[in-house]
Amino acid sequence: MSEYLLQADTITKEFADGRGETPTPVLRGISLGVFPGEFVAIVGPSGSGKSTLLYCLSGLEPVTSGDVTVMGRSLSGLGRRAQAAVRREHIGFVFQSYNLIRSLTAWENVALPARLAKRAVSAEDVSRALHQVGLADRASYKPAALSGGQQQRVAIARVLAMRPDIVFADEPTGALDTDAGTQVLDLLREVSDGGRSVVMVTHDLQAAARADRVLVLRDGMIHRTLLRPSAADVLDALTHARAAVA
Amino acid sequence: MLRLIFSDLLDNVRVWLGVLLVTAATAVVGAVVACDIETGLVTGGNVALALYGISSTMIVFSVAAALVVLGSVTALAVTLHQRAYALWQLVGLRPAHVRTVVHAQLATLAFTGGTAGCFLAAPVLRPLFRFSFATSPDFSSLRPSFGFVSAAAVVVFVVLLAVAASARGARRAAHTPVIRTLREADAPPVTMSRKRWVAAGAMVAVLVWLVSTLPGTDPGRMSAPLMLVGPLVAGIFTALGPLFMAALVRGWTALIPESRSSAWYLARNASVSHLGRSTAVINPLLLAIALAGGLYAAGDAAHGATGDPGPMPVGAVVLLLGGPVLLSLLGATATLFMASRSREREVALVVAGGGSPATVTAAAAAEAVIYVGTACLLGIAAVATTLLAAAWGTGQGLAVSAATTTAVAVLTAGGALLIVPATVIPALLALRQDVPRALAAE
Repeated sequence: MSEYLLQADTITKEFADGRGETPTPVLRGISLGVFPGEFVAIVGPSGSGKSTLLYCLSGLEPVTSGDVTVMGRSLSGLGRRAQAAVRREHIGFVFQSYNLIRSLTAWENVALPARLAKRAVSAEDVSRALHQVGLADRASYKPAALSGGQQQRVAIARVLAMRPDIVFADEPTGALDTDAGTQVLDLLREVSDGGRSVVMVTHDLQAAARADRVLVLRDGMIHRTLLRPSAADVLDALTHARAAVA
Repeated sequence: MLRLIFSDLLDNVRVWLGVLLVTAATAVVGAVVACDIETGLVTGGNVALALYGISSTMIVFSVAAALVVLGSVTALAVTLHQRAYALWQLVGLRPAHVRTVVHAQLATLAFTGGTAGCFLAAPVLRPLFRFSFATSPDFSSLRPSFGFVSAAAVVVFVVLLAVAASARGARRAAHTPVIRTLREADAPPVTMSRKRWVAAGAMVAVLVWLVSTLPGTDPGRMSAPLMLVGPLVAGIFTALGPLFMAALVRGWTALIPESRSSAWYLARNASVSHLGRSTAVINPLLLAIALAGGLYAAGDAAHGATGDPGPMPVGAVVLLLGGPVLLSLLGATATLFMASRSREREVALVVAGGGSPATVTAAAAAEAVIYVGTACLLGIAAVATTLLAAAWGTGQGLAVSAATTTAVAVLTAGGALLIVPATVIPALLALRQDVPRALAAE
């Protein structure tokens, strides 16, 4: 088995516009690998394919060609049921918004993946996860009664409770103020320090600078890779990428 | 303003189509009543008096059903639109303008639906008249008529009814806080308003008075007041819904432990949490069951007391109940289709969390079962009240006939046949949606 938790092999993604015209390429032959315990950030100019890459890596978006492997298991050719099983067993998500099912309380949202996986829900694990994100006292609240930052933290508590091998986060701080954003990034950092991998798409330079590795995308390709960069390094790389696009 | 009204109607076809469908169905029912009245006017004499009597009963049942259904459907349409209303205010539209636009939209739809309903009804009015009065020799030679004036009256009636039923929704739209632009379309929590208390109190008073007049009433004349007991009880349940509906749904659905199935767990929580959506489906079906079961229970009681075992003619049942039942079932179904877009994110979240397509589909089916089951339970309570009132009024024992049981069973099954697909099909369509797009920030 590969040393990577997550691996992409020359993946491409094209979107058809439905009018019989040539499909628009969004990802152009991307290959990458994510190690256990690694925190990877994906940055790039608008339209560079960041979110599409994240969703292709997580299996939520099928690739046009190439292959994605999660924990040594290829996602290509898997049916919807089998893909759901891979997500249940190995993957956690934190979205920019709409993270929680509105009819369930914070506690129930955290426990939901375990319930879907028909795993015994440990009340202790769920409560501990909510405690870790500082929301133990909001366990019985429905999403409508929580702020955006609190909802984001509940989504992270769900990841902490489920202990998935890989966490995909799409602009997790995009809708938050600075303090709430810092809290969320601290929590994601904790997740990866615990041996799990985090792949995060962000446009926030400070957020990207918290990662072990930053992939700078341009025109659907990896333009540069930065190891433990500063925010200034990320800005510099992004400026170059934008200049190259222009 | 006109451009805003029409572009919004076109942009939100799914939501407004539900309103259009219900207004068209209301017009079909209205056309049947108008046909009877016009035929009575043309014919004159005792036949006319009989037709006016029948029409007035139909009007009472149909208007009650139309108000419940149109009220639910228009309120839901407004809820699903609240972000748009908030945005309109953000760009400078005054609350009074928003209210005018909502009324204008609904009037436009009601006019279109009403006209379409009249056209749809026209070819079936004559055969329906013959079928309904097949067992009445006095009516068999009549030539049913439905002219332009009757059709225009029906359209005007539908427009007025839709505007009246939507008054609350339009008021709410005008007062939509601008902060809603940042939030999802989420129905406001259903609470016991003063109007609900007044409506419930009035219906309880009428019910008590009605039942108190039963002892000593000629058994042959008892079926008319008894027929109203079921719909009145359904109306009381509808008005008092916010007090007990969540507890009732939570209570009876606890019979199946949540630990048995993730789908049941999701469905149970969704139906309790989105109580506005749930009651919009449950109430019309409850009314349909109460009307049909109550009619048979009332007829049975009268026949039992007079010793006349004759069954109620099918034609008469169709004439009296066909309209309100059609409206109720269509209303429940339309509600589900209209609200289906709000399901897409929930389905996407379940899929992202590892839920399989089977879990999503089963959860939708379970939700439909919860709606139908709750309506059935309340419908049975309404019919049981009719039976108890009949037993008390006639001084005879409680008797449940096969016809009453069958009526309740048929309406429940009919409701399930419409509501299960109306819940499951949008879930299946939502499964085909792209999860990232469904969960993307707008």
